[in-house]
Order: sequence, then C-alpha cells, then structure tokens
Amino acid sequence: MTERGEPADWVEALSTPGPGQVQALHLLHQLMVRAAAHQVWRMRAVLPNSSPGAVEVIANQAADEAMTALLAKVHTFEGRSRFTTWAYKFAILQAATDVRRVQWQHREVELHDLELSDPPTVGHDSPEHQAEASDLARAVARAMRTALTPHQRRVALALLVDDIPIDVLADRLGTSRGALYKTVHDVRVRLRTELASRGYLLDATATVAPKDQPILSNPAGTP
Amino acid sequence: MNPTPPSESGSLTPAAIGELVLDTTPWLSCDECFERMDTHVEALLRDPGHHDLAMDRHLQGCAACQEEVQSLRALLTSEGTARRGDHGPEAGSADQPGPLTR
Ligand SMILES: [Zn+2]
Repeated sequence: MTERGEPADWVEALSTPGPGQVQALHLLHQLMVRAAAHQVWRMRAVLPNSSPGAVEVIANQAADEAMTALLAKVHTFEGRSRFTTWAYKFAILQAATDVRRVQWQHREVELHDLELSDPPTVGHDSPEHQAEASDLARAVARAMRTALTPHQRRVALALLVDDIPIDVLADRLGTSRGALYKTVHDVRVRLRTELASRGYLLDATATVAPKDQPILSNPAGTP
Repeated sequence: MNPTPPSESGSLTPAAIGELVLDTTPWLSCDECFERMDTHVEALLRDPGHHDLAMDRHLQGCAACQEEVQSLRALLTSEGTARRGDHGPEAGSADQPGPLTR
C-alpha cells in the first residue's frame, strides 16, 4: 500500500480474489469517477443540460463503462506510466465520447458532397489577399474533386468543415474513430500531393500557421 | 443519412482549408495515440519541451484526441502528481519504460 492507501501493485491487487481486490476495485472506481467528472466538467458548455446533477449522471455512467474497459485490459499495463495516469485515460476517453454523444443526440448528421457552385468563403480585407485566398480555395476545391473519392470528400467535409465530432460521425456511420481518422489522414496526404503537383508550395509551417492566414502559396501562378 | 446539399457551414473557409491540408505525417492512429497518451503526458509534465513528432502531428489533426490529452494533462497538473519523486517514472524519455509503479 502507498501512503494514499493505493495498492503498491495495482494489477496484482485487481487480479487476486479477496479483500484486497475488493478494496482495489473500490479505489479504482473512485479514480474513474474523479477523471470522468473532470472531463464532463471541462466539456459541460456543450451539454443541453449542464446542471451539476446532469454532469454527475454522465460522469458516473462513463466511469462505470471505463472501468469495465480498463479491467479487460489491466494485464496489458506495462508500468511505463503511473497506474493512476493509465487509468485516468480510460475514464477521460469514455466521458468525452459520452458528452459528444449527448451533445449531438438530437441533431441530424448530414453528409454532403462538395457543390460545384460553392463559392469560396474568404475573409481577407485587401484585394490582393482576397484574390490569393480565392485562388487557394478554388485550388483546394478542385483538388478535392479530382484527388478524392466521394466518400473521402463527405467524411472530410463532415469532420473538417462542418466540425461534426469524430466519435459522433463514427457512431452514426457504424464505424470507428480510428477508421475515420485514417480516412482524414489519407485525404490530407492526397490533397497535399495534388496541390504540390500543381505548383502550390506548402509552407513548412502549415501545420501551425494561424488559421486566418494563407498557408499555401502559388508563386508560379500555376492554375 | 442521405447526402444533402451543403449547409451554410460547408464552405471552404481559410480555417477549413488549413484543416484539410494539415500535414499529419508521420502516421499515427487514434488507437496508438491512446496507447501513448499516459506516457506522453507524464513526459510533457516533466519536460514541457518534450517532443514526439508523430503524437504532436496527430494531436494537431485530431481534435478528439487533442482534447483528451489536454484534459489528462490538466487533471494531473491539478493533482500535482507530476512532481519528480512522486512514486512514478524518473525524469527521462517517456518512450523508455520507467520503473514499474504497480
Ligand atoms: Zn485521434
């Protein structure tokens, strides 16, 4: 036991029947509730009902589900981090997923393709920046039509343009967060390759560029 | 779930374009991100300059995983459990196994 009353060897304590296991399970549940409550509280602004009572209900349900997920994997814990840190991540993942689900439970998720008539939306004030941004938006739209499949376009638009949470979309499509992220990753690789082939030089710092600034340039003026 | 015409939000704003052309290489899956999350956050708390390129790129490109990593970091910070000498791994690379804490 540590000074906080936690088992010195969590895996053994959780796996060995007896009073020690009962106590370890009780302590683990407390950890899961703490982390789940922390997560739900962080995201409470998106909940239709963010009263303390509603937050507590979601957190407790998430903690229970996360504990089940953790116990199924407890023998994979390798001690690379503290056990408590390792345990917390299960509760945080479950609670965040649950909050997003509640946030979207009464909302339609609509998949749509890129419209040819979609005018690029630009917000730059100077005519020069306006033209640059319009050119870029047209190039990206063109690359989306030529380099992506309809499925890739719909997923990319849903996740990256319409900001539908990845867990919510995965749930509605009957797939997983991992599968959708793989689709998005492939979309990004294809778009970057296509744009580069058309002479658009991707800024090396594109991944950290402020979102209100152009991150691509086309000095050669390639259409 | 039928395809529908784009909503008013479906336009290619500069922010959306930034998301679409983000460089998320080297590849890291959400599952692997979850696997590394605990060691990554502990490493960040020991050394705010800690870098794991694949993790960093994944977190820039995956809002859900990013939120969860930030949340775990905030939780550990609030608990003050990241202090050196608090039963956990010694300072050093998070990619290396620390002393067993179990
Ligand atoms: Zn992810």
